[in-house]
Amino acid sequence: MTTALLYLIVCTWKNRVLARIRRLRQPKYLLSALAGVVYLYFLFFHRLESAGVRTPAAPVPFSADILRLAEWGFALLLLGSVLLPWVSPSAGKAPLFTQAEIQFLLPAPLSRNELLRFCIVKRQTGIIFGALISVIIFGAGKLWTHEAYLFITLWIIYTLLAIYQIGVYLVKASLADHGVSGYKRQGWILAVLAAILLSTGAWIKWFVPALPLPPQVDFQSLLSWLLQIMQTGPVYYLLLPFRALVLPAFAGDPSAFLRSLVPAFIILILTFIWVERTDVRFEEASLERSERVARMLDLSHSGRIQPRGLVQRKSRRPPIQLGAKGFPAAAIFWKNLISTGRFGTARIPAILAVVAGIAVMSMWSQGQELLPATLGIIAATFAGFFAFFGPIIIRNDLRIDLLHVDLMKSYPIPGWNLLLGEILAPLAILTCIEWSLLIVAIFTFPEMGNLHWSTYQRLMAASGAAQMLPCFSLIGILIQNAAALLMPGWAQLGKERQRGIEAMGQRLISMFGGLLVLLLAVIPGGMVFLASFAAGYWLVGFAVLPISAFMTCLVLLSEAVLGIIWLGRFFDKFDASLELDTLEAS
Amino acid sequence: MIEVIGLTKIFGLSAAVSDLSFIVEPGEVLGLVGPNGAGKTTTLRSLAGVIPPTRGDIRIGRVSILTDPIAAKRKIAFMPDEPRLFDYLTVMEHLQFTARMYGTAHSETAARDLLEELELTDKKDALPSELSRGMKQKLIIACGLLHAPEDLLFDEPLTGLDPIGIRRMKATILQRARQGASIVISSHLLHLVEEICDRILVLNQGRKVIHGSLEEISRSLPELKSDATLEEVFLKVTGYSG
Repeated sequence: MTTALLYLIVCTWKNRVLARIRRLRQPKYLLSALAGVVYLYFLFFHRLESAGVRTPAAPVPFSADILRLAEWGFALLLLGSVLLPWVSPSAGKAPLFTQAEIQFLLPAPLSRNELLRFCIVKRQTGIIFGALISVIIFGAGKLWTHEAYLFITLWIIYTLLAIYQIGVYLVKASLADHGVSGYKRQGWILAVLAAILLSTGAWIKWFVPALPLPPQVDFQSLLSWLLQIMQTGPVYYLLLPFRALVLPAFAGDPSAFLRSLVPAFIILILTFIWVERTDVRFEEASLERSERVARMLDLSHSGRIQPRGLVQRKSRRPPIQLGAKGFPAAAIFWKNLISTGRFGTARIPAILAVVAGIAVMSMWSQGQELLPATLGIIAATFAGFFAFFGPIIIRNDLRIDLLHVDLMKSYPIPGWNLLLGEILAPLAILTCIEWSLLIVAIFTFPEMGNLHWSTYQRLMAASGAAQMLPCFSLIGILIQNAAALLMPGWAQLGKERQRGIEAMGQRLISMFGGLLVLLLAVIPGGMVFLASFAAGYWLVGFAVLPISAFMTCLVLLSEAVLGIIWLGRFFDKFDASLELDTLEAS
Repeated sequence: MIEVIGLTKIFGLSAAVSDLSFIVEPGEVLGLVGPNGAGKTTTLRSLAGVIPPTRGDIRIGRVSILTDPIAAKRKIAFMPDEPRLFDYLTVMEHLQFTARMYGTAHSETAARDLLEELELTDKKDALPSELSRGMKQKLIIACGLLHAPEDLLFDEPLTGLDPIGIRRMKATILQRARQGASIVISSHLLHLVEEICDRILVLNQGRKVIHGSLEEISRSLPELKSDATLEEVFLKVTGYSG
């Protein structure tokens, strides 16, 4: 790599750090940074200091079986990460270069390999930061012998994934360049997907041992069953290279660690060689997409073809027409709902479909009687998942519209009105998802041990959950919007997710911070629920559930109203000029 | 009418705009010119209520944007230089959305008229991704004009427009001025400013350098000829000696 490229990387890194330090002049960022430092100290550095005091040979409390299951589990996760860019239409589309890099580097006299190495090296700051954050967050347990082993393993894995993503990007570009495009390209991916699903089905049908029957089910039998699954049939060989990559993190001593590093490095080097030998030029890969769009528009203008994607979007009418008079918040709600309908990805239906597919395949091998129970557990789990994590996933609100701050600030409506409009669309979407899942769960959730659910009890529990889950989501959405408004520099703004490993650390911090605030926010409501449930259960039995839920919702809604008013006032006084660099960069 | 009284906006340690005062009467078109970084966009954003001034006051039709921002914003339209549109709303839906935000009466007729005037009628169902830069600019202007604002703020209104579009845009601006709107245009296109603006305000390093009609300004600068162009005036007052 030329010194000019190194200079570019160093200067970019230096100026990015300086920009972040300059941002600390704003008290809100300074206070948050201090809070972050204190948090990191107690979570990580304080632990390291304590580790220096404690005896080095601290016993590992996990059994060998659990450690082996963890190895296989992480290997499976890694396999998923490797398959995802081929299956997901949005994955693997991350541009290799920024617009400025395209403008400056592609016309420059640089070889393909120099550009490739530049791509990999420039990701290193993010990779190292991502690995560090992952160690801080996930290294706290006793699963790992040493944080350093985990850090180095994660560095290898993240670097490998970064190189691999470049390779996928180039291969996808190469396939399109050689004519495998449009339906053919989709068909090729679908064929691979079908092959994976069919082989998974065959594996489940013929190789997976039967699940232990309910009377014999205990933790150890379940553990043995899972380990047996991982070590039978084709999955064992499929997961071997991925297991080799995660093994260094589980090494018990330095020599085992060094020995396990060798295969991991070999896989890393092989991946690099594969990417280096991909027969597509970076220029083609970077420009391929924009050229294709331009070609399509040219043909469209000349009347030879209709741009399919565009026509499809045009033909979708908004579900409701917006009148000129009425509550302005409704206009923002309408706009954000249209956004979901037209540009919403199929991520959530896809996740649900995959889970349902796996459940159905499992039942096919185990006997059909388990199907409703499995669906019930999945539906209830997902309903809870969406209540807490949905606000992070569904983001058609201020997190998108803050990029239009010039426009939004110029509208003659009070801030609370705008905030209310912004949060309504994700709330409506999440409520629909949660209620749909609850309806499935009511009828299919299984008996648990000695707890037998009558229809009446199920309905009472579901009506309580139907009230509370959207309220949790509401608080979560407000927290996410507050984070975007209070600290746009730290929030992920816009529709496009920041891609790459470097964005991961920031996302993890935001996610954990948001969840922490959410937990604090629901404490008063939780206390009201417990108190009212304890007092009312002896009087009216299960009928107290919806009543307690209603009282909890009143508390949560009061918090939400206060939050909307406060954030609205903040938006009214929001000085976009202090954040314009962030907003314009987004 | 737009009244700016001692407007100051400070970013960190530097003042983007310092103690700026001026009035734009109804029917008047004011050209805001100045070198890059002079504070033109900051001034327009402050006038639109997008960023709060550090000091001073701004009155839109005698309503202070600081004390009653909602009433003031109802009277104004701000057309920024970069047409940032909502990716997922069609041209017509942008107008419907804007109409609701401003509570505009008879918005459907007004929207159709504006699309016709700005030659966007056959694009009414198009998404922003299908529009050229100039069309996006026109849509931003259509949204701005929809609620018949008393005061208009344009930041580089002609960027990306073709010659016919430029001619139509100039006519649109002048028509609004004739109807009594107070208009502020920020632009580097000095011939445009000279052609359609009644008065000119030159900013440099956040400060007002000179303010008046081109004739008044030329008269106040004895070293220039009485028929000096805006370009000559601009170069003179901003200290260009090349």
